[in-house]
Amino acid sequence: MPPVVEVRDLRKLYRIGHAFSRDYVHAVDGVSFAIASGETLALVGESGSGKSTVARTVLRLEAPTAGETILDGTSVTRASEHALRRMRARMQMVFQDPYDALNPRMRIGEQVAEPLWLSGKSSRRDALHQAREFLRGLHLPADADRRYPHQLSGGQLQRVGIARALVTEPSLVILDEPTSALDVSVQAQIINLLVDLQAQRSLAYLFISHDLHVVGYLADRVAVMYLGQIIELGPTAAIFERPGHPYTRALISAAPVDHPRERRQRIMLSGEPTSPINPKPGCRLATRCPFALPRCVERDIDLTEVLPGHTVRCRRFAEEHQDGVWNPAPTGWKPGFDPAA
Amino acid sequence: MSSSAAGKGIAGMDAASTRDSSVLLDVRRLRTEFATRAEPVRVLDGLDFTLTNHHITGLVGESGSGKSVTAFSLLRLLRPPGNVVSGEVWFRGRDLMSLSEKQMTAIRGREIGMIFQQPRASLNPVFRVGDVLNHVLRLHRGMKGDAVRREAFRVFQEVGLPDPARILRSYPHELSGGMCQRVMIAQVLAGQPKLLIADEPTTALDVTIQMQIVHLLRSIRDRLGLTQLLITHDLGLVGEMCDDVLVMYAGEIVERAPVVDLFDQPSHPYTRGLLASRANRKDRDRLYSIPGTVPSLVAPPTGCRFHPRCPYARQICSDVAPAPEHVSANHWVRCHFWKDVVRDPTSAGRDTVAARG
Repeated sequence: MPPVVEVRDLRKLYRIGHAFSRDYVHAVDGVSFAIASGETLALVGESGSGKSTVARTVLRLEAPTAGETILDGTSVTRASEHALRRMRARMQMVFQDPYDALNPRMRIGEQVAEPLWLSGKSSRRDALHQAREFLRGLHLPADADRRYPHQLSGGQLQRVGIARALVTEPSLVILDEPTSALDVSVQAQIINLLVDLQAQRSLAYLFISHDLHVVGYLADRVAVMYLGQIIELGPTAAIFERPGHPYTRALISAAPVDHPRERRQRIMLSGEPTSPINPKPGCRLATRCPFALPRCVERDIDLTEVLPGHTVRCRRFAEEHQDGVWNPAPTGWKPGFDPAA
Repeated sequence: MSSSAAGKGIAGMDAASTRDSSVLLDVRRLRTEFATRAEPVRVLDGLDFTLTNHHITGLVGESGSGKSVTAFSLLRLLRPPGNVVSGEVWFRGRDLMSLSEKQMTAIRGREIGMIFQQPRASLNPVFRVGDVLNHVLRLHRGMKGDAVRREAFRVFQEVGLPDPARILRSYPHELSGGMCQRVMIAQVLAGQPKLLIADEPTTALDVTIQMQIVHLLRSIRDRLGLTQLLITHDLGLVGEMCDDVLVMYAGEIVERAPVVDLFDQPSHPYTRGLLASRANRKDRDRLYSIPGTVPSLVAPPTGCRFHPRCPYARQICSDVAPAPEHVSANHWVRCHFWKDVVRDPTSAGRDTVAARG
């Protein structure tokens, strides 16, 4: 079965400084993935890694510098404005903060109906009727459609945000940190709702998050981003139990424990991410990586399939691993510094 | 139960009391209100707890539960319409609530330091971070000249800032969020306080940086014995770094326990619900979710404030506010039916039908 969405070598560069500047922020630098119907792909990484830019360029909320998104067999990137408006119904997004994402001066029912008539699927009157029907299934107050956003709680508003994304019956939904602005006791309600809706409608989810516990619970596969690139992509169990890339290892190791008895020593990365402006060739983690060697910065590193369906962008891992197992010793080497000299 | 009886109850209930040198801070019947056009809203309703010396105590709760108001009340930093109405805060033999404003100023920074969620927002953007640190050293430690520079350098090394000499000359906007938080911690350490209040110190940071700050705060506890009150909504963080935990719900502390006991035997239905609603990779069952939402403090529920959301609630819960009861020596809980909660074999009440969200 063909994937619902396929992203090919997506790039987004932002020029900084004056109009003829040659300095570019490489926000997204060659990202490719595909998501099947009913599947959840999680996109994890720290702030500035390019997760949200991927979301925006996949949906063509911003035009990518290069690369292409294919949704249900048609190119989103090359669609005309007119065709794009119809396509938007099939690809939707749920945002992090429902207070910011909803219009404070518009009734809930009208906000949920808006994408329906905007995409030309229904008349405005039918859209409002469909929106009411949809909201009815989401455990909201009976008169929710006539209320304004400030009259609902954060958890209720996020249900509305989800309703607005799903009412047009999309095949792809991008969830950008959908629970991180919510109270702990409400997060579980929203996660359960997302799971139910996916099962009923065979939705493809691109789930953007930095909460590794939620990612481990929801995702079928995980893509890890660092400075604009996917540095590892594989099945959730493999990413959590046998992470390959040193950055993934540090990230998984940094997740808080489930129980205080599990407190442990961790793989710590020194320092913080380097600048995404005109990145140097070679591995982008090299300055922070405890296992770096001179050959890591010789040339750009490709994603290599190390096990079926599990790719890693680490030259040493690709060369040295045995069936996905690699236990290197810290090298003490840093780019621009040679301990032997 | 009258509030004064409840207060004495706790002071006697924590293994340590004020006479005990192991207690650094003893909060009794702390009551904070916010004035509104109508009735004042009581945000903290007779708070009682103690902080053990050299321990990191977590204060966990959801937004609106009163965690940050607690910190600001302790330090008397609340601004109108907020106001501490009554209560005592005993700290090293003195009741902070009865001190003059001048005496209180001498305590803030020198004896009790505080760090916040947004480190960059808490640093003054027009001063070099080194100048602020020098000021702290001159003001609180009476240092002069070269000693100030040497000590500033040493404190920056202590909090793991690379290249202290360069960072001392930097402005906050030149530093990353993680480095700003280290600078904030350095400013607190420069005053050599006895207590550090950390309000969501890692929430705004990325996971790998978050873990660096957790390690730093723990190592400060281990090396300097600095007592800390960690305010957070994140139970993972509590499991990671705390020794004791206070669970707060709607302006009250509903459970207090050593951290391992809290995770092993959560005895308040709310604590159980919070622990059970965490997503986990190894258990992909449907998540437990606490039904309903956090109540408004304008009109809090009668009796036990958790009863409208509680799967164990009976008539008495809406009539009578539960007094704290011992689960074990250092573990107490405010729940009429905590024994039923603990005995419930279903993991964290997960299969209690009424609790299905």
